[in-house]
Amino acid sequence: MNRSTGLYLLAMMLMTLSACSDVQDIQDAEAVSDVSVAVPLINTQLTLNTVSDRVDGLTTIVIDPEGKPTLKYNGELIRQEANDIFPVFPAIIDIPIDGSNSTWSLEELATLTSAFADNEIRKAIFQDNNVFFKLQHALDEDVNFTITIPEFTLDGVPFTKTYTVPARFNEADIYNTESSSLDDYLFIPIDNSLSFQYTAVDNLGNDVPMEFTAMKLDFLNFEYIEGYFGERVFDVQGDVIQVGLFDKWISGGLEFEDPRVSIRVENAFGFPVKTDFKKLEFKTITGLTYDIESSIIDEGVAFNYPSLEEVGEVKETSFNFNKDNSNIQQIFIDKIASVGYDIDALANPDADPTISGFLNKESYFRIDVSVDLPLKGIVKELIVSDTLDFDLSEIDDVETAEFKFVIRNDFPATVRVQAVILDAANNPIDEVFDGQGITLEAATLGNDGRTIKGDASIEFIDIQSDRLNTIKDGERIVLVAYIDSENVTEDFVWLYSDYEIDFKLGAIFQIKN
Amino acid sequence: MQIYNKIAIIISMMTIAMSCYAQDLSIHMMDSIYARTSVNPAYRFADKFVISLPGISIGSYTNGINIGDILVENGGVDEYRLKEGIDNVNDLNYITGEVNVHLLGVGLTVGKWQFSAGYDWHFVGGSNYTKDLYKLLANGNAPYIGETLDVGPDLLLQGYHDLYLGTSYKMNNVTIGARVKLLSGVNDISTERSSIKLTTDEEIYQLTIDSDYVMNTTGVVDYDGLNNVDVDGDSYGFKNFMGPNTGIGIDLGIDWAVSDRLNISASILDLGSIEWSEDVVNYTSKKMNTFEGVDILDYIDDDNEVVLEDSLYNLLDFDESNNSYSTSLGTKIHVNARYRMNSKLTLGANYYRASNAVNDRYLLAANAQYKAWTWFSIGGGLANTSNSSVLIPFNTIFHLGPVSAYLSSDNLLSAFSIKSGKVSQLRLGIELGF
Repeated sequence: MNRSTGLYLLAMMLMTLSACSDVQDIQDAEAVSDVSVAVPLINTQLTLNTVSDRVDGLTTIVIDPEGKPTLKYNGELIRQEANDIFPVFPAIIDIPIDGSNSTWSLEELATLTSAFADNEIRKAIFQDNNVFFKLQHALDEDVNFTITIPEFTLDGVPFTKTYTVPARFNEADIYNTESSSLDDYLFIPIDNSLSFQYTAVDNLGNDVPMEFTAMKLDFLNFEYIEGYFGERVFDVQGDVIQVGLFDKWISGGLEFEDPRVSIRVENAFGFPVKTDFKKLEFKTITGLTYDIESSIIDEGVAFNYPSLEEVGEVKETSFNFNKDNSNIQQIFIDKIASVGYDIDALANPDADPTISGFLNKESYFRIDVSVDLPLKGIVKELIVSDTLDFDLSEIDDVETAEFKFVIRNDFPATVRVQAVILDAANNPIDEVFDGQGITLEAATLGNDGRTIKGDASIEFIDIQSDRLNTIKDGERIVLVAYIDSENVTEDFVWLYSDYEIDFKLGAIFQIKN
Repeated sequence: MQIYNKIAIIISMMTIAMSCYAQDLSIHMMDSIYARTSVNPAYRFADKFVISLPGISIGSYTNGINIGDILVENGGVDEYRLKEGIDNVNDLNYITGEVNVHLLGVGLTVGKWQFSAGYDWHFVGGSNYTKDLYKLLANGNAPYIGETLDVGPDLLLQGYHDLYLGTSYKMNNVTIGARVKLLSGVNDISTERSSIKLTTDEEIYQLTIDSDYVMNTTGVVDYDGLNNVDVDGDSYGFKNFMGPNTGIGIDLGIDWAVSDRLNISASILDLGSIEWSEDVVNYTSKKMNTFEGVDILDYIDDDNEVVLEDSLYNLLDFDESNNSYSTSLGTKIHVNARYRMNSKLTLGANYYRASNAVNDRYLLAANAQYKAWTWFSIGGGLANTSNSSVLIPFNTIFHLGPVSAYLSSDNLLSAFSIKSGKVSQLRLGIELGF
């Protein structure tokens, strides 16, 4: 090896060694991140409008044109159809026809089937019925049998059918005619009776005495019935309405100026019906029960109903228990948790058979019961609380955090919130806010009874690493809210639907790893 | 929050990887070897018949930070800290790397004609990133509350096969050459548009992303939010040879012997494109998304867990489509002059310009090549690049009978210190000449 070659190889070795050293440094090095990240966390504009868009199920918030909201806790809908009142009866009995010109009074018919019990049918239209006749004669030749029922007419023409009754071969032979549809036949009893007229002749035209004659309907079913349906009670199923207003209650009070239990009835039956309250019971969050005192309970409320000229129309009746006709306001001061009710409907309560009513297949009545709380009230140092699961395991790398609150309160009530963090054993390990908590000062109430929109307040909470490490052990967070309107006014005050709590929270996290 | 760490690590690794790669400054001076035809198809090899055995060329270029800028020692432990490099980051930064694997080539001389054929595998990766993006990754967004950061990176990650056929013809003192390349794409990630603007509001740090971003891929990216981006790096191997992603490339060159001592040559390489049609997924985001925080009313009576991170990660929201697309090859231009001082020493000058889908760059070099013995030649020089770095090109060739082995680098300095190099390149190869 000469000198040049040696120098060359030495240079190559130096290069390699130097590069290898760099590669080693690069391979061994660890990536270290130290960043501060600013993120928005919560951005909520709480108004009764926005809440009403989100509530579902049986709770609703109804807002009137002036923006006055009413919190409604609705019961399950109650609806009864015509078939519940006049079910389709299978006509399992024969209606004997005694003689070629015979008559059944409807009272007599009622002894054969309960379908006519307590009812005085003055007019009816058949639907989905078939009729046939059971016939027997004594001749050993065919007999022509023609029957007419004057009370059954179709377009003014009485029901008339002719059958050929075959010769009888033994005494047990009873001929069943083919079925005929009675659909759309009008039944108008004459003198409250149903009559049959028939002729039975042989091939020569001689009268033939019938050994047995009877009419049979497969079902007794009407599209429309007019008449008097008797005094009867419809057992309307009751319900219990849960009022969730105080689910999170700890202490303090909430008074409403005009709490109500509202009943709204839709009725398409054409006869008088009246309420009969079996129960209207209020249960408090402590388990006490109160029965309401009201003349409505004692006297009942008559439902509006369509007249004979208003067949197909639905009449509405609304009434409520309120502070003027009951002691409901006093009852509600005691923090009601549920309202139970059981209502019967009494048909023809006056038992006046001269009233001619109607029902048809579309007839129904529907009862809606709700607990209505117009949100005009007084909040007296109300404290509510809720506990939520809490998991900060994802923020292991966070060293410090600075939270920024931007809050505005349009409500005429001061709201103060504290958040207490609990460990796995439910021991409090941190209170998030200093002192009694973060305060959302009440808005100022104007002369018109509405609040004046104020400015947002801004607060920062700085959580250093030691405290953050403590909080990371938390598993639950207890949110406690104190609400009071009496420091604004001692009068009942409306919580208008556009009042807003604008709550915004952002945070800057210092993250190292 | 872990996304910052992930991205920081990716940037660090890219910087490390790219610093090992690069652009052929001194190969022009390496007389008579077959490998030289790769930078100019008009260059002629000395032997009648040449077999070029497997070799590799790797190179990288960046005008931004290098490894040394972010590598710090802390208590005896080396750490990557993006914050450390922030002063060395330009408003717009380029980083490009190339790996060319030469598998086999053959050359044949027939009178004034020379023919060549062979197979290469190419990989090119690159990115343009803004200082805003770097600042965001290094510091987070909190220092930039109330500001809008332009953070959209251009990206290119492309592999393709190259089956070539070349020829040159010598006419008196001028040689012209051309090479046609049949290309088949392995896989590709490339951005068509790359605007992403992030604004952090002053009130409670509401985040807004205003995007006009189109990223075309051949199914190697699985995007499901910023925290769930999966790139299938393994799919860039020897796959899809003669597959459905096809393209044509052309190289043209001329070498003019001005006198017995002076040669001037020029070439333009990689004219052409690749049409990508297999498993194409186009990710398009042209919208403005704002995350203002969660509305707790959405969780009233709802058992769903309040998940903040999902909302944050989905701020950059892509629509997916499946339309084929094409990418142009990164065109390169070489201009070279060589002057033979005597039988041992040759002086030269090079100009090189290259561009790809995301950036372009140039180098200017002065070289000297010394043929110490018939079996050994060594070259060196001085070069300047578009990022103002001074480079020292270097090469050496051994001829041992029919075997020629060569090594070249665009920057000898980067060989001494990978950490500080902004331009790195290395080419290794062996040929048999008969």
